[in-house]
Amino acid sequence: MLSRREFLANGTLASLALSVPGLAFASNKDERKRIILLILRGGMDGLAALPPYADRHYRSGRSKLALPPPNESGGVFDLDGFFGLHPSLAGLHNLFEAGEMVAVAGTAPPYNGRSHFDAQSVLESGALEPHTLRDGWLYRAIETIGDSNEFEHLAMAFGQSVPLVLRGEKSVSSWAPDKFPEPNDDTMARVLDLYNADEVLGPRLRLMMATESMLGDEQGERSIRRSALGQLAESATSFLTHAKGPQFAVLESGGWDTHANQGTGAGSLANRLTALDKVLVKLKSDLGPVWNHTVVLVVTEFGRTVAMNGTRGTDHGVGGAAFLLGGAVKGGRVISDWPGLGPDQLLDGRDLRATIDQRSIFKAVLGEHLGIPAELLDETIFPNSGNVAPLNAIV
Amino acid sequence: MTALTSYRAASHFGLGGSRQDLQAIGNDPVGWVVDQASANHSVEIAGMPDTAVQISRNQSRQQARRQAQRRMSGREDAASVIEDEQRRYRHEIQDALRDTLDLRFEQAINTTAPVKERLAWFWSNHFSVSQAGRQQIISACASFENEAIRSSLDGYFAQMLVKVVSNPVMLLYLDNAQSIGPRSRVGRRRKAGLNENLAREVLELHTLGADGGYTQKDVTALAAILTGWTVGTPQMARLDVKPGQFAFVEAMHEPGAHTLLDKTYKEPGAKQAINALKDLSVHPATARFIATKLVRHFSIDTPALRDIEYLTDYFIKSDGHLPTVHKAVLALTSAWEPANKKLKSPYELVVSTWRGLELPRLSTRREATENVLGTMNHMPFTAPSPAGWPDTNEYWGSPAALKQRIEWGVALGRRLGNRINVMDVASVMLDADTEPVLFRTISRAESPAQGLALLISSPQFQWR
Repeated sequence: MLSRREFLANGTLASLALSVPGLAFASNKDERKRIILLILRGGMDGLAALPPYADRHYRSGRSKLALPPPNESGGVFDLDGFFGLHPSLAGLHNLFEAGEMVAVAGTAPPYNGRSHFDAQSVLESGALEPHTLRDGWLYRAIETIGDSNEFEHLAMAFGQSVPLVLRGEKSVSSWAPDKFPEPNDDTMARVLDLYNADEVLGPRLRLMMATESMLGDEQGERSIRRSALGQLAESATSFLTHAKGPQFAVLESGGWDTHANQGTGAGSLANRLTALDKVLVKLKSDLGPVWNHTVVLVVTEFGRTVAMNGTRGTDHGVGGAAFLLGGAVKGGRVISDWPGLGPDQLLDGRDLRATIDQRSIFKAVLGEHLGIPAELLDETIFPNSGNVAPLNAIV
Repeated sequence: MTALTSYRAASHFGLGGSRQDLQAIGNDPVGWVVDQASANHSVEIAGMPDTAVQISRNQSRQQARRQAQRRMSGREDAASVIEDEQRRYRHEIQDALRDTLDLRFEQAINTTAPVKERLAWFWSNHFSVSQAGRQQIISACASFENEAIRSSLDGYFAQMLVKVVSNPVMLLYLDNAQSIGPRSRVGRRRKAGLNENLAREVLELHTLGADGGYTQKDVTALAAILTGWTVGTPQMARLDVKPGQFAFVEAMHEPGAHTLLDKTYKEPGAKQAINALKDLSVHPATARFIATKLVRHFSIDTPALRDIEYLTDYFIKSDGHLPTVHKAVLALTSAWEPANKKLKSPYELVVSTWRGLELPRLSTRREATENVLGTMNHMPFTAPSPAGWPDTNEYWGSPAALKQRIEWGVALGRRLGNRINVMDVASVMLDADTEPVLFRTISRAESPAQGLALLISSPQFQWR
């Protein structure tokens, strides 16, 4: 009986097989561009993560949610004299100081209806209207640069399902932790035979088998705890640093919908931010030299209300924050076209306006980092977006 | 009717092919399916504890902990004593949670009305609640489902909606219990205010749908209308409100009239929200939103417009009479079309496995089940958002998830292969008439363990 690897290499899956045994680390000469997209689902409170502490309406508008200024105990980290970083984001602050982090304030997808699901659909599909495109902008972007035979291996989703941003006609690969014993090669071969006849599930299973062969047995059987962002990020870096690994990874993190008791310098939101900060710092050290060719995009579907709601939390808002990190980022800057927090400056009297279309961030990364031409960005990847200019020279 | 439709009745509409279902179906698959929409069948779970009992118990545990912290403060062993108590408390909650999930699971395995059970799951996912990280409602979610959904399948959607929104679990899950009208007595005294979480999700997820034509003003108005709908706590005893139970507290309710979707609600008290919910429940956008979801569940991920319109019409003409709407969707031609397949969710996969295998021991099932459901992110009442789990093949069928399904099948084969006759169970769990290749593959397995692994892992068993 063939081993699974031989089986893959020999026939059915020859075109997908990556017959490199064990891990082969990317060499220093591997200068392929990487993009890691981290979607914070639920609507991260941008005014807490990236507080405009010097806005004259910040303290009154945020009232009990306001963080102390930089010079006070428990105060924010100062970025540029106007914006600060939440005190839980020490690692991000170091990256900012090192010129490897850009913060974007007052940004959102082109949508202000305050629904998680619609906003996420717009964020991920790249369309102007929710639920109008069935594929995602990152999928379309990769399609424009990828060799169609290799396509599945260019991008991977980490988590139980492939998010819309990476969905399209073809399946991209995904990786989720294993808790069950590995089937033996004979059983797996028979199962594959059954799946070969299934038009929908067959290709997906073959893709998964090819992906697994990349890691080698030792890595593949390592148990990775499910859903914890840190664990997913760890497996993402093992793939991204592989010589034949993907260039694009999408990760998701939940729990940002802080309607009640979100806390300020400490509390539930502060805990989430601390965890996020640790993951991002570790990502840099785990990626090694690959970090220099990487852009990490941290985005969310909307910001939250300026004012605290009746339950010491915040409700769904509009303008939020985004972060770009990585060796390929020209960092140390906050980009904003600040709309202000004054009562008459807010949208519907309650929310920070979004003055930077999130697509302009994505366009900058795809254009400058990957070299995708403007006409593809304006028409194919983000349909009818000619009026949305890429953010100036982010990368 | 052919064997094909009998199998489809059990597998696609019910919870998988099994000996008892195929016997009950006999020669009338459509009749068997459609009858379950009627009041002849109940899927309420006997012995499920009340939400109020569970929530008040969780409340008193939390109170006891706070008291212990005060009592112990300054004592040297305070930390360890409190830690012990915490551990005991966590164990108690985990036990209570497990008991309720077991009851729900056993119901699914044993019910003679699997189509109605599926309908209960559909609505439970429509009105999704999650226990994750919520101390007060943990262990009460299955009770919520029993009280608000399983008991409402024979009535009008309006009744279900009011039961759901007034249930303490929903009021706590979407934060309405703490939402306070800013001009109410409590609001003025404490400078407290609205939390619009529940109001928004009622409009977006429970009734009209995201493109149902409402605005931020409507969200705020419904939030104001819903103020005062809260849950009793031990501290509220003097208001004659019982801990853990629904309560309307006038002192938290935003006074005055509120305008929702161009209609002004002036009623006093809880009646205001009840009337608003009733109007929402029969709104044409609600009818269409629910019709679309039902067709997606029973027919295909991308429902045909004419099916949606057909079902919307039934919903509107019957004022949202659920048995009428359910019957209509269960009898849809496209739902019986063999080409229209849905990938089983992990929970469906597991339940259909146990129904088909007929292995009676709970401990075996529990062990194997918690493992797979946890790994595949489908433990009941842990949906990633208030929208519930997506009902699409795409969501459940990622490459990584498929691999896990197969691995589970293999693990199950190893454990149970020797205890069953694989070809016997295959004859009810798979469609014997249309899958000669699959049956041949299973019959040629090198061992009973591998045979069962192939049965469970096969694409034919993963689809419904």
